[in-house]
Amino acid sequence: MRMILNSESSHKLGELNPGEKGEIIGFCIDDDYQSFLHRLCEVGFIVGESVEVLQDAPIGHDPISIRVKDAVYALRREDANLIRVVKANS
Amino acid sequence: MNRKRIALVGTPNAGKTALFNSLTHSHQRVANYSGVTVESAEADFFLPSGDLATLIDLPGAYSLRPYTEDEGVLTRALQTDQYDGMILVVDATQPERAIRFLIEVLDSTEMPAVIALNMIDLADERGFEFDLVQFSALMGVPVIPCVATKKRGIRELGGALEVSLKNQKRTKDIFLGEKSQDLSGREISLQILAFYKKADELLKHILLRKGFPDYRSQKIDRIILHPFWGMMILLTVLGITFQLMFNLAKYPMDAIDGSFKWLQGLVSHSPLPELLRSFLADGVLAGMGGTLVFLPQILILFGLILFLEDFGFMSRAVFLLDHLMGKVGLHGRAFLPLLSSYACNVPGIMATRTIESKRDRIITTLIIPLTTCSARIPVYTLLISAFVPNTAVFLGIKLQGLVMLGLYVAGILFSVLMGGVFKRFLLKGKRPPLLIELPSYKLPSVSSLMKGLVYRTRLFLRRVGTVILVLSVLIWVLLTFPRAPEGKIHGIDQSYAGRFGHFIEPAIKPIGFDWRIGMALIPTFAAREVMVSTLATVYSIEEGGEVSNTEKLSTVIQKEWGLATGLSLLVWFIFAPMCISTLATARRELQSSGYMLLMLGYLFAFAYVGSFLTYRLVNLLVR
Repeated sequence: MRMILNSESSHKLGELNPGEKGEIIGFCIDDDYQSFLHRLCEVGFIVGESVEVLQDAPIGHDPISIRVKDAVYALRREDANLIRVVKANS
Repeated sequence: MNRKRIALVGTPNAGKTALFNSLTHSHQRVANYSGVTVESAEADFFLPSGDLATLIDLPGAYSLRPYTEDEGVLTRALQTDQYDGMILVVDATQPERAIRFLIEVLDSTEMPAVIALNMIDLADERGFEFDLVQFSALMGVPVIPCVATKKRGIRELGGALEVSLKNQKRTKDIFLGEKSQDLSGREISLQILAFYKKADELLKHILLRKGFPDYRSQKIDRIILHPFWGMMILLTVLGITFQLMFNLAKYPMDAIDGSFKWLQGLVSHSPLPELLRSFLADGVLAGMGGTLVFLPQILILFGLILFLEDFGFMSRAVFLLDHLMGKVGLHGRAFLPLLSSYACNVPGIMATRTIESKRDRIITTLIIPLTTCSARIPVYTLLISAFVPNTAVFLGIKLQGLVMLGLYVAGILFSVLMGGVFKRFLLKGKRPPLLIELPSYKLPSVSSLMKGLVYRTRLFLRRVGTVILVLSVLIWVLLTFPRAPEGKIHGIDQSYAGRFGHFIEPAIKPIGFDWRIGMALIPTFAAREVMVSTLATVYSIEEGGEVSNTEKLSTVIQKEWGLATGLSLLVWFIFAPMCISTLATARRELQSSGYMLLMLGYLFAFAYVGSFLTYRLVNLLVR
């Protein structure tokens, strides 16, 4: 596993709580997840995009629903952790 | 005249099916693509000039890099030049996604095309504003705003399509250059980013004003995905579904059953020759009627599924249940296939196509036969009414109903168990990721729902008219021939079926089945529900009288069999390993005889061992 970009204030997207917003700064490259990363990219998870965690599921607080662009997607926390974000203030 | 073939192509949740339904008037047919039958449809429609064309509904996709098998169908279809043109359906409330998808598809083919900018009403409401002239100038194809569910813009779409079709090839505006094959992962990432940049650039010219986020859906989600209320709503929805399936369906089912009984009576008392009377009443009518009674239940279940899917609830159910289902080795997306399986395992297995990973598809397919499909209901009903006393247990809840519920629960428990086993021993490795869109909530259109149900009904009736009819006749032949010589009467055990029953009796004796049950099990390979009508035929031919209604049949088997045999057969049907359609579908969908045999093998083993234990145990306890 290798980080494209790292930063002191970066968080894994899967660690954000409902209501928290962030901006995507990078991805974990993992060969097992290559086509998944491409799909994430295709649906709008790209560097510079802002995301918002809307809700989490009742059982185990997993998966979480994330708004990106004009769409909302459900991702498991472990999968969302492939995405690195910096938290936005609001 | 050469009928033009038009492909309907679009992103998921863009209203492709709704557009299909408002464009076409004639009946749908199942469409085939390069080897696989996709649960998708084609139908004819009129172009404004009066020419007839065929519209083919291709599965939706986010991009032409297929991620699921369903999406692969679209990619392959666009590569082969088997269509004369295409309608590209995109969601106006998702402009970025729309543009990316459009430039990718338009880049990949020279086919004439028109763009249907669907859900323009919702986009208006949320404040989106498009420059349609720029839009179609930049794309090089006409862009028609429309609202598929309200049939707005449909005529314009047909007109634009007809004009486009005049040219056999479209001058391809290359947005990004030819795609080369065999790119590395990183190159693909860069390509996607390039698409993104290009799309954003184009979007600046097309989208004059960006709309608000979909606050309404977010509000609804606060209730439907609520930790407590969300689960309550989900349970209520499932409860209502099954309530309707059993209680509401009862009336039309009784009516269908009654009319077939009436027809049988009519035939039996007609002056036709005896053999022909028996052929029509015991063969044709009994067989077809026995299957046709399930139509109401299947329609109720599919009606609710279609409604919930159109509404946007199904992906929320996946969201709510993914964690729980992960515990037993299942993917959240397995929810819809499993729910469909309660009507019939075959569409359930076909629905597993939306599951991205092969591993999850295999596990789900393998356990689908454990869900109680509606074909098992009449067998359960017959056996329960014969062997379970209907005493009140408490608060007016009757034992019979409780046993029925128990059989459903047993199915669920075994599928959980087997899911865990397969995950543990057969298909190890990391759980594949979940990515599912939670689309905007939409009010389903009644006409679209009706069309979906009509389509289901036609599929079902065709099955009754072909497979079931042929089998019923075959079974009748096996039960009736060879005939006794003139003046002599011999029993059903002399018939071909009877001889077969005797032949396999040694194998099924340990689990408490006699040759008659063995005989009645033969046709269940084709359709599980035929068990009941075969037993009815067996006993009516044997007793020389009419054993046509379920009530009477249950008294007969109660007398003939014993409690142990009855319960043993009930357990057999929890696993019911013998539905050929299910096995054939599993083989085709997984493209593997090995997994099909594994399915058959484990179901048979469970059925045999389960029945054996039940038979022995009950005998031990009763004595």
